[in-house]
Amino acid sequence: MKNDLAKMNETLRKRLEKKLKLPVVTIEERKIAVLEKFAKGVEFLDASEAVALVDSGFENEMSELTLTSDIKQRITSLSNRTSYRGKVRRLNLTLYLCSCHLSGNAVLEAIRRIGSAANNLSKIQIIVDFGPGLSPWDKIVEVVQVLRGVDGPKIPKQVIVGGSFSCPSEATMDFLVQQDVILRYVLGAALGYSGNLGKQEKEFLKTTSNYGLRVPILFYWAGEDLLIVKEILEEALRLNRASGISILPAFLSPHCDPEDLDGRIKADGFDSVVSYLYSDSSLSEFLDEPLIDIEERLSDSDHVDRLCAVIDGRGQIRPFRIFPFAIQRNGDVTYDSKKSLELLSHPARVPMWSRCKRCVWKSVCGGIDTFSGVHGRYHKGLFDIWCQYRQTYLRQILRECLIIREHLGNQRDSIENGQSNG
Amino acid sequence: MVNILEKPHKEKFNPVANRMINPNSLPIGGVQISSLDLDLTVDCNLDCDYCFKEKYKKHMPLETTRQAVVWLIMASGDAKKLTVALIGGEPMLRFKLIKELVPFAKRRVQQHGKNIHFTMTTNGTVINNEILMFWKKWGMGFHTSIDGCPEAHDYHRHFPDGKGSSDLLARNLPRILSIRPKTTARATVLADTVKYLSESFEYLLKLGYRSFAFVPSVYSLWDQPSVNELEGQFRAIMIRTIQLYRQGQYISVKYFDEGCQRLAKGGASMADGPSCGAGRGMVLVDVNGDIWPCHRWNKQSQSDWKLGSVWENGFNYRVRNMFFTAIYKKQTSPCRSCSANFLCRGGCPAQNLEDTGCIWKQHPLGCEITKRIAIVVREFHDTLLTEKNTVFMQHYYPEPDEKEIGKTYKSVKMETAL
Repeated sequence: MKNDLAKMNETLRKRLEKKLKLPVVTIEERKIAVLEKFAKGVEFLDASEAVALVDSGFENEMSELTLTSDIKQRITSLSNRTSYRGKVRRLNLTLYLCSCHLSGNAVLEAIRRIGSAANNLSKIQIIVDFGPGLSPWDKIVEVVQVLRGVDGPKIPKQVIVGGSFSCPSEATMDFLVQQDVILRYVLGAALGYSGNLGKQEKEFLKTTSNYGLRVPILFYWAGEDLLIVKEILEEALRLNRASGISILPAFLSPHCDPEDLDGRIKADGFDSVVSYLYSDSSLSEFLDEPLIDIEERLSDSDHVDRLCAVIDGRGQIRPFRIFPFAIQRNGDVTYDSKKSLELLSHPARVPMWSRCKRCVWKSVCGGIDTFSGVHGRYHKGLFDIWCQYRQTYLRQILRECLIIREHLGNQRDSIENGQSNG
Repeated sequence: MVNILEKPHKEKFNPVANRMINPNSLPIGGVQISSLDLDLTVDCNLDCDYCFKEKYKKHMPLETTRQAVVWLIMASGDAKKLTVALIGGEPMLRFKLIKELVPFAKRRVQQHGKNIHFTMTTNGTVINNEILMFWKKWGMGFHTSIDGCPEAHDYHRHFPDGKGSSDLLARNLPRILSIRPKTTARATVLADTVKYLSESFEYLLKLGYRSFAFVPSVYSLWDQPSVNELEGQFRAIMIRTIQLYRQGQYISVKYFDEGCQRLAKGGASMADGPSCGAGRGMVLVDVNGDIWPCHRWNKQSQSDWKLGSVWENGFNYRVRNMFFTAIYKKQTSPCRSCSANFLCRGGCPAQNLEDTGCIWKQHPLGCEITKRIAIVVREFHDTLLTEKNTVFMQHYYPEPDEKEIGKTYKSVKMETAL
């Protein structure tokens, strides 16, 4: 009986396909296909597919994914993929661990599971992001020991520990240096971190930087006044001995609720803050984001896919956003916007979204992140905000490139003048 | 020369006026700066009468040393290997600071994916076990300033009360050499001490040294007889060195070592420019945090040569470019066809400036001295190459290919003859 039904369905499907000249798939097949697409990291969903997915409750399924064989399988699938359009591709994993509510054992278990599934990855970046007010140095040491130890994944890995810590002991600092752990001091009142540099923050930065640790500041901006931001950055730069500063809108924090629409709207003025800070050449040198972000991507070859995931406070794993920007290393940015766009062109995929096809930034943006499924995950109304933000961000990147080019140009001019005079 | 050190953005609104490092003090263009001399102090416990330093009691603060290291990290761009030479005065007078600085720099540099090596030039009189253990732990290299036998050494290197420093140094040397057997004996050779040169060589050999640098200096004090004496003394050193090579011992003697290396690679090296890299890949940060082309350039009277400061905006590209221009000038000068070309790289720019007022023009006697040493070096090379001395071949021709050696050396000979 079951076989007969299957035969009928198959016949029906063939007829429909012939009539519509399109492949017809069931909901189940579609889900599988979408999963495969995520896993392969190739062409993305079109708008109708995304909406259909949201309507079919796929989003819920995605959010319910825990550290089970599902995610393991997908990671393995991604890492096993060896060719893409005839080129050998590698896969880099960036894994955020929001461990603010996780026990140490849960973090270790998560790393072990991901690690064992990621044996074929070429590089792994693990960002352990401790929540506000936590200074679990013992836990950090334990986590790093697991990562670096015999049980950890045997691939190059970078460990970044972010948070707002109290001063570690000398032995701990020594351990962090020996293990190449990057500390990132997080500030941002909206997320519960300190919004300013208080006594504890200053003490931490002073002690660690005098010891020789490089402690970049990560400032999550949530609408603070420009003057306050400047004040904080000025002080932070002095204290962390030019270790670098990143400034990001608060909603990009892994601690932030991805569905928080208000948070995104609040970020409207972010580009003007960054724009102002970058316009000062003396300060812009210290701003890691977004240029360091680009640099990191440039350091990878064209044939690299990125996988980004976050393990949230409940131990669930969910896709996470990245910025797949890239500029050509040897290129130069000109004032001709068309050329600039070409130079900023991203080697990876251009999304198949119809709206993206019309977008002036399509060659730069890279569309949906390889694994994040941001568009597939968020409600339709969020697409606009995401695109708007990204476009603003890209415009900012271009502006920064121009500022830097101008700055370097002036310096080169003076060199040339010096040569002729000398 | 007019000081063109710019201080831009001074009037401009600056949101980070009190920042610790100033990127506008970083050079852009040219070669990356990967080597830094740090004047930890201008003070010294000795009172050597040929010292080029202006002596006054001033020490570099710890904050400035840290700042200088961070500056070097940024100025070095993509360069992975950084070198910091601790000099003075006598750098060991600042051991307390060194204990803070070296670990700080090693840790910080490691986090930038680079390596940093510390070296120092010390007079070897301020040494104790703690210092030696520290050197060993952090893998520091160093030169000991020793002019040779007591007669030569005490002639110029003495304490302020006139007492010679050779006794104290000789007592400390066994401990120094036990920690780092490859320590170089750095000897300044002057016209009045040149007669002790070969004797000094024997003395240093007996002390246990295996690396030597006999550097003729202050050319204006030399004359023709003393230059002849120098050639004779170098020849005696050559004969003794060949003897040691024949006994299967390797020792490194500056000029012999450099000359053989270049001859083995094909000869002339003028295109490489001055060997020291002053002002190009190497700079000095003095006790105030000011940046100079090298450690010979921090006199108040030479303020026009200041490159910048780790605390201030601006970088003096005009001065820096003069060092690049020097290479060009050398390449187009008679030096190009000089017989000492394989050994000479134009002399010390600072010494040249003092002697001739021009960084690329050497004192005539400086040229003469280099040519004489070059003759001896070539003889040393030819002798050992002809007899295919095992130690020599291992060091300078590691993969001996008879045809290639013959061809390369022939081409050098022909070029020199032309």
